Amino acid sequence: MFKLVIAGPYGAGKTTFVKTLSEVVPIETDAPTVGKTTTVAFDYGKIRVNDIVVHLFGVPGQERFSFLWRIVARGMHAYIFMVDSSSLESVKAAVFMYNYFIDTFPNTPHIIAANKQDIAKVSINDIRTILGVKPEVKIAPLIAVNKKMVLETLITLLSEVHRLMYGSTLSPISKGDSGTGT
Amino acid sequence: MGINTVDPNLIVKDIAEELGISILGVLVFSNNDVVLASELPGDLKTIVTSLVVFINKINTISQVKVKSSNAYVYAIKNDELTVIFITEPHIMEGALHLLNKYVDRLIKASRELMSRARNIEPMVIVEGDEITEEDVLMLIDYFRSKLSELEVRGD
Repeated sequence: MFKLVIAGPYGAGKTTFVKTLSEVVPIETDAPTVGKTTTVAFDYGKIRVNDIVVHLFGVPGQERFSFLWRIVARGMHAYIFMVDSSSLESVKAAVFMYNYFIDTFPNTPHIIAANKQDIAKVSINDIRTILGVKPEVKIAPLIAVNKKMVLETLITLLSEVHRLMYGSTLSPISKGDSGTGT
Repeated sequence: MGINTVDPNLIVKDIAEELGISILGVLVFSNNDVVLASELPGDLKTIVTSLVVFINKINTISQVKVKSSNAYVYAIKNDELTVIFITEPHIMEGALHLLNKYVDRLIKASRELMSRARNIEPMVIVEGDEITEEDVLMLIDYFRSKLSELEVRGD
């Protein structure tokens, strides 16, 4: 069983990512707030690959649910930290959660997914600067409703898992930045 | 599946309407984790976080008041929960105690939220198995093949 967590602030697109990737109807836990819905517990989806089941967990972005972050993330193999590139405010709001994940799970492989590239207003370089993403951590451009880009993001993450766990580099798939801040 | 919870922003509004006290924020922490939080000016988050960490280090504290140039922070500890009210700095100290009437409501809402979260916890505490290099390579191959299928179809 491979456990993958999709983290990121409110509105980053985590639920959409899980929906796009999951081969079963995902469990969604969105609850109505005033005039909209938001994830308050977690999203869950899964993909069966031969003998391995990939479990996808999307965690709620609001800081007031931070006590759930550690619970949902326990035992994960890797995580994708997703941000909304269409909003500078949203990227800035992601700093707290990103720092939480970096501090709490310092050795867990991860990448950043810069979602909403079709309407992006914040560059990948700026996302790296605002979040304080280390040069070796990749930032993948993403449109979470686009299955091809979602698969590329996933392959980028798995390549990072392979690199960090087994020390070898696979041929790149994602169009994400090279990790050099370019 | 959803958890319905109180909106701390509404409590802020209620306090303003019922007591005439201008509240900058209301938060409830469970140990050092946020359970409930209203909107809060970013520059106050650091002082609140530091205060909660401090309170949780000292078991004997039940109430703390901290005044800074831009806020008066009033914290009430209830077992592992800490309720925080943040007001304008010029509020009279005695007025802070009027806020105690909201503590039970916030504690109750927080405990309900945490209880419901625990009920769904068994579904989320699935932990990953040991994976081998072959497993990772197999997953990469699988998703690459899915990507190729999409490209062939022109999706």
